[in-house]
Amino acid sequence: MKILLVEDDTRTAEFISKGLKQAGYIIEHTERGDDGYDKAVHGTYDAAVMDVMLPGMDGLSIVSKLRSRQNNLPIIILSAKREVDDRIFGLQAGADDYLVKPFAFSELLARIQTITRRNQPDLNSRYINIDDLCIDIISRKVTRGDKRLDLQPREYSLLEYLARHKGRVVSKIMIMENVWEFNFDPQTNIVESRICRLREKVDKGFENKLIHTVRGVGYVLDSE
Amino acid sequence: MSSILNKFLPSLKARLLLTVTLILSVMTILTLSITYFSMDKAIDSRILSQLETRYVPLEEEYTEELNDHRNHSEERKSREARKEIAEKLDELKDILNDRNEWIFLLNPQNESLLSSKNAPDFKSLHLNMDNESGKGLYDNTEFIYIAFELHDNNKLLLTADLKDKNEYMILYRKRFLITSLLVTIIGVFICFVVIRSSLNGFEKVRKAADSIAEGDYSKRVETEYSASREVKELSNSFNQMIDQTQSLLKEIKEVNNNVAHDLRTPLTRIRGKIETTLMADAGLMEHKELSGIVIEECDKLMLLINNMLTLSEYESGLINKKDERINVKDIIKNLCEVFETVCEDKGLKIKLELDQQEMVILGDTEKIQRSLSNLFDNSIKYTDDGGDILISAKVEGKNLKISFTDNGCGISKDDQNRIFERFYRVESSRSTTGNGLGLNLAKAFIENHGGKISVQSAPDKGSCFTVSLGLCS
Repeated sequence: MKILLVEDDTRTAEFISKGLKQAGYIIEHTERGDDGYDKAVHGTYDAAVMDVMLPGMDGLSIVSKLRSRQNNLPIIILSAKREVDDRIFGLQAGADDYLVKPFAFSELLARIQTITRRNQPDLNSRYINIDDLCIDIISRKVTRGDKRLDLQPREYSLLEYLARHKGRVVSKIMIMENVWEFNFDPQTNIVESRICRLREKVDKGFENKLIHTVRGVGYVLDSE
Repeated sequence: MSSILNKFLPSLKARLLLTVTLILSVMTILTLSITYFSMDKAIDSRILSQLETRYVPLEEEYTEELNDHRNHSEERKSREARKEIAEKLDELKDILNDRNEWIFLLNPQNESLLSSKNAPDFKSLHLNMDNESGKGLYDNTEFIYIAFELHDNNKLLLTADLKDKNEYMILYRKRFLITSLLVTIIGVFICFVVIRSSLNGFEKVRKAADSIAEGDYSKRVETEYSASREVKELSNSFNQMIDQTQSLLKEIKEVNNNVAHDLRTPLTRIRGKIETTLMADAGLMEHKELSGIVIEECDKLMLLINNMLTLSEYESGLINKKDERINVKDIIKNLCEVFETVCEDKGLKIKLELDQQEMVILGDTEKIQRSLSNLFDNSIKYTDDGGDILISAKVEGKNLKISFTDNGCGISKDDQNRIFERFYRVESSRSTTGNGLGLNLAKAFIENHGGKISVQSAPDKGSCFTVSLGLCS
């Protein structure tokens, strides 16, 4: 998968490139906005990540110019500006997502994965299978091997959210947002505690552990 | 114009004085000139009317004489009449000499037929006879004249000299100049005194401002009892401004210290961890662990910075208001679940009292969640292990009242006034986590939603934080 990165700050560009390369993406980087626009028009990319303040042409102009040319390249805007207006303006210009600097890399990765629909389990399918774990989305029943797991509603939501992002690290804040509908981190240990409980039910007694902690970043549900 | 004023008269005092002097002198000159000229006119017309009284008997005699010789030729009639006037003039001689009046009888061609004895040669007067009346000059003396037409088209010209009047007017002019000079000098002096005392207050404010500019914030302007209202108001405003600035500076200093402290602590931890890991020649696992710790500490720093920015945004009012329908009951229930583990760890008993009615408000869901979360978090932090926290939400008319009541350590009266200030932390709470922005943020968010936040507390008994918000109708 090929990502176009338009970012004029060399150090930021360096760490994003490095991280995305590690996650298996091919990166093409340019520092100038006008150059980025040309590349987006003529090249083939699966997604683009661009800054707002760029030399040559700003990120929002690139997005609106691309959209006016019916170019549907998925775009994530990065910005150091925090104003809510700016966020709304970015999305109105046609960006698919918006991240405010400083951001967690895992968050950027998760968002890229979301907009490129990579690794996403088939949403139409009734079951999500990870190793011997099987989640029935409709009846909300979970089994591991032959064992039926008895989960509380919130534990189920948490497991389903992790399963839908199979193999990808989801941050604590993403979990808070999607499982508890909290758009911020209330600085409690609720996520840790529920993950711990979920582990007891999902992984206890099985040799192959499915729920993994990535310290400081988040959690991942995967067979390895 | 203004640049010329600025160049030559930079001081307000001088400008005011100049203006007053100009106005006073112009006004005095104008008033006295008007009086002078109207007096001049009045005297002239009085003299003319006196001449008219002289004319009336002469005219009567003349007309009578003309009538008496009705049967004679025109020439004869006039001659007789002239004779009569000449006799009359003789009678008047003494009076006329005394008063320096001349009388002429002129034919229609303006040639003198007859004149009073004291009169000079008519031609030497060089009078312009187109006008009925006017002024002339003879032997350096000004005189006034008036002509009346008689029945036979001859004219009777009467004059009176203006020597007395002119002497009187010269005297008046002298007095008038002295008076206007005196009035102006006295007026300017009074103005100078008034302006000086008025501007004296401003001078004091300037001096105070100067010493403040040099860094002495203790300086205040003291106004005298006699100072004008404007000066008193200015001094009061000025003093208030300095009070505000002084307390703001103090606050900024405190905030600076607190921010430095809050930034330095995690940075020290980060640096320390990295240093010890590097020195210990640690393995991959330790490095991974270290990276995790560094990320966590960075997140804390990021949270602090983001909170500060959010607070500034809210305090500056640069916020686009949202009007999502927010079900407060759901938020409170969710909050209880999110904080459940923390409460369990501390052995706190949470009691929920929610009214049956629907509790929907309009606003920004995240900000309401954060406000309530900060208040709940605050209650948990300052309640001892095993304590109780009561969360209640009540509908009171059109308002929703949400309160968090604990039986923790409470807050003293002095601290109650300051806990909503940025970075303020009750002394005993320095050891607890958090950055002292929680209540400040909650207040900013709630007030942005048109609500109010208040606290009731007694040390060692507990605190009750109450949020009041308008319900969605």
